[in-house]
Amino acid sequence: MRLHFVSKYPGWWLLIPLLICTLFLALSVGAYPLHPAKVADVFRRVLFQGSQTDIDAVVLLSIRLPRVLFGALAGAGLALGGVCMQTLFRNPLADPGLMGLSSGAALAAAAVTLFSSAAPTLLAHPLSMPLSAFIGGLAITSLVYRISHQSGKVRVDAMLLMGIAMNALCGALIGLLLVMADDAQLRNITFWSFGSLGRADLKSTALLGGIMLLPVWGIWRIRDAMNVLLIGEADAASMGVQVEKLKFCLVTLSCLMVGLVVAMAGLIGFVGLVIPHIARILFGVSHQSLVPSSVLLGAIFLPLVDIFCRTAVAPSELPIGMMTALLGTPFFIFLLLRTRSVA
Amino acid sequence: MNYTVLCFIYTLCAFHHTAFSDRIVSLGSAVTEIVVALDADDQLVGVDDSSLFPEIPQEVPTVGYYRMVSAEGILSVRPNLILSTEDAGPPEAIQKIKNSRVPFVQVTAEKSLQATAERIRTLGETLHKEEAAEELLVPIENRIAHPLPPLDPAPRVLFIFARGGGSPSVSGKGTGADYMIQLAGAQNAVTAFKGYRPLTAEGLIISQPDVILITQEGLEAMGGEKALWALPGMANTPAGTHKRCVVMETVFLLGFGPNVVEAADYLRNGLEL
Repeated sequence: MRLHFVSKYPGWWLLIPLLICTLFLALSVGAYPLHPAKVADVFRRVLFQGSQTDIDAVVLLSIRLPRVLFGALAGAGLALGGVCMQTLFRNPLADPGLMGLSSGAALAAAAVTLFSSAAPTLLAHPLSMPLSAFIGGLAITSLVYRISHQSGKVRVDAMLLMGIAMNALCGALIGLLLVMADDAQLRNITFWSFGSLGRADLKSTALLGGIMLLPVWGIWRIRDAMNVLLIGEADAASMGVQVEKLKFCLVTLSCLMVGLVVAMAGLIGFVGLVIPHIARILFGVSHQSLVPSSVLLGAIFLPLVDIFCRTAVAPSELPIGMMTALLGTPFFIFLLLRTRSVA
Repeated sequence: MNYTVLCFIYTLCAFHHTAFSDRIVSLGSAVTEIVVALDADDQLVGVDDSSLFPEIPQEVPTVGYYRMVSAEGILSVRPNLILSTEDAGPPEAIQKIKNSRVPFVQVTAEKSLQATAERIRTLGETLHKEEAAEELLVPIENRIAHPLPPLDPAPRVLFIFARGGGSPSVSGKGTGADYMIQLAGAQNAVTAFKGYRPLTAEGLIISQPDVILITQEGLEAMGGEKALWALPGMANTPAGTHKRCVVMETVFLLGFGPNVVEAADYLRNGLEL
């Protein structure tokens, strides 16, 4: 069954040309001066003459392009993860961090940083950091999920409390590791937790894009059930929705997606919490439009913020994890106040 | 076969340096200090946040902290030579810089006389300033061959590392300060742990330092010498009773740069008084 919500705003598909413009803008702007015409020229040369090795091409193709694409994918993933959690908890304050995903990943990352000198062959490998952050995030989340599982049912309120408790525990353990860390390790842990898109290369971007297809497709498939879930678990069950299965899908798909982003980019707050709200204000609460519009808005928002991070103090950089909130909050407050005055 | 290829690449690189290395980005104060000492600072077009030397003009942009650099930021100043310590990062950015084919030379980040000598030698060759490098190397190699005799009795020195606002730490074994204290012929008052730990009143009393070693910047952040002697537990240590401390600039003490021998001698002098 499909519920119909009325939206006074135009369709989400209007965001697609906006996304394309944002991506091209993000490719043309940066610390290294590259005129948009040159950007087009490099792409033309790659298309017609094969791989290029001049410095313009290197900056554009192996530094900026992966970063912009990764930013778009990460923004989309974080925003969609937020949609899932807010629907699951039926709480506008929810984001995947609530289930311990971010703190679990941060704990694992801190542990790897600290113990990499003890087991260099195993932990100093460049893949060990994202891999353990991914495993750490998923481990804490599945622990939260398991513990809130009672007689075949997952109690959402218990999951919320469990998540808060686990966050506190991870925070304490991270603190313990920070006390043990030396100056350089302390710096590394802090920088990791700020979040950055600068670590992305074409391989990790392709990996993220490839893996994200599954959760995005999965969530799109269950959009109608998510609409029904908004009414309440009992009502949704009486309307034929397999609530337990749905909850499991929501947690698994969103955590897979967000866990991957966090593992590769570090902690980037605000996107998962606020982009779904902006999408709801602009395009209505039905998941029919909320899912695609959140994905697109996230994919537009993060590269836009990253443009600022890359250019504000060039040739140095600002960490994106805090800039998302710094730039996004005023806009969000403006939007919130405006909708209120309209209503 | 492999060796020939390596030689060829090395020759190419060497040629490249002779021809073009007038736009240098230097990452890490250990590298930048040597570049300055080799009188190549006019070739710098970018340094990292930790490279704070008065010889470097204000116009030279900073490209971020050397452990968290941005590949595009560094390439945007159009360098034709990038120098860094091995602990520069993140690894992904370093890999991208290597892929850009801009000549990239990394030196050891270790804190020891031998490592300093190695850094000076490598950078001297890279910048074609072998003679200037040899000059800098003389006192260091001298000191490696003839270390200072230990003081008798060797004073127990406690290094307090204070940063603005934060709680001060003390340095245990394996730190740069630990090495400098030994280089000056004294002993570290803290041997119970490796690395830095927060300073506590009881820890201070247990370590029973004869002399406090502190950086100029740290002392200022703490609020001057008066605040140092007022630290809880300080009055119950020999250092606190006799108010004995040695104050040195952070880079001078912990930089392990070209003047590392001078720094050790300065510390030695302070301890002998």
